Amino acid sequence: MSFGTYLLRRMLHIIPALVGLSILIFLLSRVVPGDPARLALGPDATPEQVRQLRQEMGLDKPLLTQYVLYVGGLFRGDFGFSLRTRRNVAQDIREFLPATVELTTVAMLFAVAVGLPLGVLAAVHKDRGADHVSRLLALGGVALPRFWLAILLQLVFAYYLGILPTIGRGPAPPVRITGLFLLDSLLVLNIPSFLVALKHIILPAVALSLGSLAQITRLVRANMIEEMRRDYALAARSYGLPERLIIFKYVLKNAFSSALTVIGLSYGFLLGNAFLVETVFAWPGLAFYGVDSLLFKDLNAVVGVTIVVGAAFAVVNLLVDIAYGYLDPRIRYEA
Amino acid sequence: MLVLTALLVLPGQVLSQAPITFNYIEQQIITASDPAAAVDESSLIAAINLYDPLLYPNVEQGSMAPRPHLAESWTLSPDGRVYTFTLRRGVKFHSGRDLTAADVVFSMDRALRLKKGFSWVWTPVLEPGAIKAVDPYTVRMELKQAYAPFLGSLLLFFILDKDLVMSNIRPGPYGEFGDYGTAFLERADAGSGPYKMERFDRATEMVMARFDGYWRGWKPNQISRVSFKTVTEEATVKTLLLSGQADMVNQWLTVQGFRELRQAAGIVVKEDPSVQLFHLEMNTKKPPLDNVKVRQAIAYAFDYDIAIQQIFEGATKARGPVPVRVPGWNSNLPVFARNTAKARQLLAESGVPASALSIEYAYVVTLPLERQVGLLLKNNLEAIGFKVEIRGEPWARIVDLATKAETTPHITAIFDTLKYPHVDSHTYGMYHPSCWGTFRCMSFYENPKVTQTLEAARRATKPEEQMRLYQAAQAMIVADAPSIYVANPLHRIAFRDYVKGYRYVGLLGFDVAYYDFTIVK
Repeated sequence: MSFGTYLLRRMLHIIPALVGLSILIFLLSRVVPGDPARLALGPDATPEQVRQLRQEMGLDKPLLTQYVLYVGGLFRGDFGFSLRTRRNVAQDIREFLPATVELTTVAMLFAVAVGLPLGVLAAVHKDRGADHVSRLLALGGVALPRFWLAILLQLVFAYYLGILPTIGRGPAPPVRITGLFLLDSLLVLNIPSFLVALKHIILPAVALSLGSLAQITRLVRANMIEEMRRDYALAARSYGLPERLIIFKYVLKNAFSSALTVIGLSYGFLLGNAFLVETVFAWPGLAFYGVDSLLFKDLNAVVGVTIVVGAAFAVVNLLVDIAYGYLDPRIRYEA
Repeated sequence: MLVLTALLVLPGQVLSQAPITFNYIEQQIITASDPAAAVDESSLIAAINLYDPLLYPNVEQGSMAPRPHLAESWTLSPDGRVYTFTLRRGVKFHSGRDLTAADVVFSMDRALRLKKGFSWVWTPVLEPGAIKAVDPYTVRMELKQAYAPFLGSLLLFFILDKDLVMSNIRPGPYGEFGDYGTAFLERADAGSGPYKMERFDRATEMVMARFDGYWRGWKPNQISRVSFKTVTEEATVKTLLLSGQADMVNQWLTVQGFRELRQAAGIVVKEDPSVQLFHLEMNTKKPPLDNVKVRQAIAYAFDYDIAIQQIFEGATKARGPVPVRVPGWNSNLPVFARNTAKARQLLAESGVPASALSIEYAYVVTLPLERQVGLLLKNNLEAIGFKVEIRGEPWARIVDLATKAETTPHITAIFDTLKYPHVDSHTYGMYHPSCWGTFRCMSFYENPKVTQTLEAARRATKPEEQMRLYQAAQAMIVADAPSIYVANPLHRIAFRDYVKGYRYVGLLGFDVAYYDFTIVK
């Protein structure tokens, strides 16, 4: 099978997954107790006001009709009206998604940039000081609750030391291109704006990344140890190849492929689960928006966020599959 | 000499002429920047600072009673139906245009047609078209009938710049008025208030800047710029105030959170009796609570002292449905206190067999305090032979359950804040059958004499007569025990000690009027 065919097949798999997801979340959001119209209007709304809003939202129509209308709207870029923000959910998503994408991307870059070398270091120095330290860090990273760590970082670096901001993303760069403050600043070569955005993202990104960082470290360490015991590594050593070459060119490449799965899954997971960190740092992201909408029973927002996060998850997994195919050609031919 | 005079007049204070930025933290987003849709605290704060209501609470006298504001004076016809307001001249909108009667007429018609926000208070007596501009500075409102809470409700009636709104309408369901400017008002303001909206990012911040042309003028040390930030996490809110990055934080922190802040240097935690009622609504349509003696027995079995001292920490004990600081509260009401012997006697008199004394208590699952009250109630009631099942429910579910008597639990824990500055809110609004189906009326209380008295009170034209009837209704209601009236909790708010001028009169949002604050460092 050619790489193109492999890619096409993987992309086609996304469609039924998203259709299934949309049906599931649409149904679930409608069976959760509580009348969204009554909640939106406040407890003092008269029955007539509630009836009018239900009509405006189409909640008086049969469930199937509601679903068909909703999906029809999706194709026109209309995600429905948000009861909470009183505008189209698509507009909300456009506003909130970049903040989460930026936070998650920086967090994942940090996790990979630190976790990968830490895992290699631990494997190479197995059962020695560096290994113990990295295992302790990994254990802490997995065990510490993110929100607690976020508050701790905030207290130390923002309150006591006062070197990093406590909340928010900072002022938006003068020109909005992607909505990612770091990227937009770089694209227009606005270095002061870039530095301000960087200062704001450090604490939330570190707090968000530690769980993934720990997982990557542990996985890379375990895989590296296993790979280093394999015949090809022994053969390379017996040929007298330099240890650095064996580790970074041969062993790491094989050890990294399974870590790639974790990176892909973590990225998708963080997109939808960054809300605790977003809450602590008042980070105006999609995860926070999604949870807030769920508590308020803002139906269209809940469905919209779920579909977007689901789509992002699917795209990230597709990218991981592509990377797999690149790292291990056997995969694309077996698929 | 001038310097010397200033020092003598203001000992220990330094007048700051530089622009003063004020950072206020609220834990909920501004859900509506359109004042006609505002109902929650954050939205009301935005409305109060960007717009002017027709009347204003008399905060200077520490009262919620209405005083002149945009309306300088008013008259009422002898039949209590026709209000004629004389508007203040020289009031300018942020657009620079003069505020006139046409804007008042437009704003009320718009509120009545949109049917959002507090319009439900006016819809029983007003229809679009019933408000007329007699001349550019006189407005006449013709009510269908006399309506006691009307004047007070006008504190929540904010005036919009008609021309600005109409020049920004989009196609919508209101005919020639299109969308009535609803989309426009989500990103801009059309008010005459002390502050102009400079920037609004719904999820994070609203920035307001002082309106130099404000009709009440400006004095030194007042706030020139406001950053209204939304931060939901309590730990972060506290950090911001402690570090000086925030000047004031909202009332929604926990009691524990305020206790911590009170111990910090440079921070004031202000406590006032609120106009909120915490009560346990008893479903009078559901056996065995359809028997008045059973309800009275429950009211005597409950341990109010423990609830007040250990759960509500400093709250005032509720005496009837009306919070004690609301004008019109009946101070002669009988006060229930725990009396197990009397409770047993009432149960015996009720004739209800012991096997039927099984009830359920519902509370909002996210409020641990309500669960504690439930446990106390269970303990108290089981001592006199009841079986009590405690059930936590999401708020959305409670609102749903409240729509019918059959689905409403036997007892439900409810916090109920005064909706408009009138005793009517906690009498007619809770015990007239017209409110059945909402969380405020989960008792499904029905007493023809009370209904008649409340209707007569609303229609009464003389304030003394109104109050007499509302107080009589309170006495009858308490005798029927449709609720266990537990507490009027404290209202708390925290700010840096250099913030002066904070005043709480019980009305949601009016205490955070930035115009009233000065900064004296």
